[in-house]
Amino acid sequence: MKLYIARRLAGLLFVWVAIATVVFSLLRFIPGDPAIVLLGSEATPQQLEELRVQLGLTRSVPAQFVEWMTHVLRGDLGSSLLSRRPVVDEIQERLPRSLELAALATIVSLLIAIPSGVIAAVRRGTVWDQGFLSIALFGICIPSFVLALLLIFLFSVELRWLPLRGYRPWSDGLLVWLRYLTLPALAYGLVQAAELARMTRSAMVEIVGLDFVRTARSKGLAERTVLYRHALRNALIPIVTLVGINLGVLLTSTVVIEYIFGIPGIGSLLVDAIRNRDYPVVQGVILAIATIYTILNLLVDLSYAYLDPRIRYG
Amino acid sequence: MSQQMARAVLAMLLLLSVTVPGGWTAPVAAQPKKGGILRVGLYNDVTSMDPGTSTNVPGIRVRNQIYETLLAWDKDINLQPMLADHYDVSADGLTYTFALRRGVKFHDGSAFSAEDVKFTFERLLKVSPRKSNLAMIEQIDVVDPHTVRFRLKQAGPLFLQGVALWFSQITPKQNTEQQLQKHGQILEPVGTGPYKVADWKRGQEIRLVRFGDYIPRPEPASGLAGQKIAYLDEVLYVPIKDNKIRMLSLEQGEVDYVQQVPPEEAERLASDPAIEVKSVPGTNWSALYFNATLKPTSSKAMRQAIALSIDYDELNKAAFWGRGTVNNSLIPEAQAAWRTPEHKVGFKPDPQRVKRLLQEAGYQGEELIFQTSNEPVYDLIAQNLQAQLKRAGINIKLNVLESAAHGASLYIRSSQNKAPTWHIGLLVSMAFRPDPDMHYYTRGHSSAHVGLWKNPGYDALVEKARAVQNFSERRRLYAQAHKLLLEEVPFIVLLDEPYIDAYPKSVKGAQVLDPHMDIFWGVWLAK
Repeated sequence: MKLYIARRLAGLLFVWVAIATVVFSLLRFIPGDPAIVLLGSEATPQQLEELRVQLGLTRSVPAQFVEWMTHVLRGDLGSSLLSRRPVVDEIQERLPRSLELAALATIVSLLIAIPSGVIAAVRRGTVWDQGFLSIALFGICIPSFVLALLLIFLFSVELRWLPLRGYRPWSDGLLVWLRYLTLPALAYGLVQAAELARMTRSAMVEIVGLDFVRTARSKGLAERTVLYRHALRNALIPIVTLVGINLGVLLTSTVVIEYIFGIPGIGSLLVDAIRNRDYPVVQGVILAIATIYTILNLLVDLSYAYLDPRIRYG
Repeated sequence: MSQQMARAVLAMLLLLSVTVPGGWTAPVAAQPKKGGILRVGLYNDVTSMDPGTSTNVPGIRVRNQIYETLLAWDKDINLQPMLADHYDVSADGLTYTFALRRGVKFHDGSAFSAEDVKFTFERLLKVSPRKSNLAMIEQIDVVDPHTVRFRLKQAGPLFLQGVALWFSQITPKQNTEQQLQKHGQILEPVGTGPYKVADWKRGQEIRLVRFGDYIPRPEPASGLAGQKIAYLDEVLYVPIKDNKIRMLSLEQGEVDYVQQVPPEEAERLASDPAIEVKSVPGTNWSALYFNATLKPTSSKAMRQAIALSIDYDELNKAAFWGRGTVNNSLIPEAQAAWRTPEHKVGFKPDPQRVKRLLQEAGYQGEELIFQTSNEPVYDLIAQNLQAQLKRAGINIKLNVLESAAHGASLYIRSSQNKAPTWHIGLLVSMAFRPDPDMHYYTRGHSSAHVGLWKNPGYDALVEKARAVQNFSERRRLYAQAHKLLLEEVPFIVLLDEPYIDAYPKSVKGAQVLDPHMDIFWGVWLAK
């Protein structure tokens, strides 16, 4: 097991180097010049040249890459061309907000998806099943930003229950924090829930027909215990995989939701950096996201062993 | 007179004042009062507030409340004293001596002095992305704590402009040195302005509070100049990037002031009786650049044909819902001092002449590449022009790129020293150009025109205009340059962009100015 984890962590290093190289070169291939973005339409050739020298953009691309890589390996991601702050600071400041949003959205999706998936599976073919399936289909089809706008119009404009936009940290109080994050988490969670509910349903449908479930029932166990302790536990593997991957996806695709709700997270940092050709920030953020993604995948794989003893002992 | 009688008379008077049409009682102008918080919806994040290194426009908007310059622009874009009370110029135009305002304090309590001025400009000359605007400075001497002397390498009108521009905001020497040592830049802005920073949560909000020790100048308030009275207790800036959500936040009362209202939203907001939508002709314009190295736009007749086939009023309706100003000159209508009668002359659509010109140019209907961006205003202008030119028999192929890639393609000359591959390039300019030199030289001189257009006569005119000190002489030269541009058409200035702000009617005293001159002193709340 330890060897397995070590091997996976070593693999992480390869992923890193590969991603760093790809991102670095891709960024240089797309047209755009940070100096023009910074100086705007009034820039003279002389000003552009001076700024490029100052930003270190005049050296050859391979030389820039080598310098950047040596810094990265020492844990230094460089400084933003725009704010001139260390990229590590920018990420540290914004990443937790995106993590909070992703975690909350995942909780929302689990709370909705698991019960409805189980009910749909157990009552297969009934109105319940079809009702849940249609709602889920609708949920998969609707883009999260449309749902976000609908939620805003309902809860902020019409009912005025929740704030329109913005972000407040924990330190302002848990309730305040929750008030601001509820709508974005719902907008994301609902869409995620749809997919997850379908997955839960199909996994459960398969399981409830198996012999051990019949055995559990014939032992006289309560239906609830049969479903949630025996059947669901065995159906969890595909669900956990999906949740794990979704969490990674959530973290990178919060851009739209962050933009609409004005949450200063990692997604909006990345998009602004791409728009402004803020190379060090783009590279740093993508590295950070890749790292989290890889670690999440590792955790998902490790959780199989916990959930399914056959993997642990096999 | 008993109290009851007095009340009755008063009531009668009040009644009369309401019912008598035209009213013999003069309407009482509401008196400005202190207090309250103004929440401002900014259209983008403030990435940095260091005057030395940042060019970020939302940052400039906020910094205007915090920092001050030696000289400042009034609302008609003329120079007025601010931190400098007055200045003397030597006969050769090479030495400027500024007498500084006395009793001015920085937000950290330190006194403003000549040392701070010297420090600020010496730092700018080293680190500012705009240092070439100040490159004429040779040496700065502190004569005494209230006098500072600038020695220039060459005389000319551009020095004073540079001193008044937004990057020349004065920072305190001691405080800045400490911050530079700690962070390498200014992270906690400290200026001399009427508002100071109380709290800056990056990406979330910037809270400014009134600076208690601020002493306003005696002159009446105008633009960035004159008396600055901070009526508001606080100005709270919140970045709201999504246009729809920003407008909605205003309507929902979550913010009290929004800037950069998109013209299509302005119509809707204006229908709300509680909201004031203020739209003024701006100093930003949009223009079409021509590539002078590629056929057919290398032909003057072709360029003239394009200029004369555009209905600029129609374009104004399509791009700005008619709120823009049709103006074919580089000097925006808002910049009245520099505009001559010649500048009012523009292109008049003339289908007959267009036909002749197209023949003369030998145009056979080939597709012209029109380089543009996917930003909203660009889209509207490009699509309308494509349709308009099609009617005139000119075929356009739109090459739409994302903003930074468009910039790189438009300025390929200055960034890579290459000739562009497009025929026509669209620029919606977003920059503050108080001096015509920044229009005429920077856009049209053969060393700068992005489409590599060259005209020795034009070069001579704009070179002379940046060397001459006399205002009316310069004005005359720019009028001549305008005439030459109308004939040669190296670019077409299409429209002046409107500036549109919106706020509840309870917000008083708001002025809508260039985004680089945005101000919240003088604003007060009638609530």
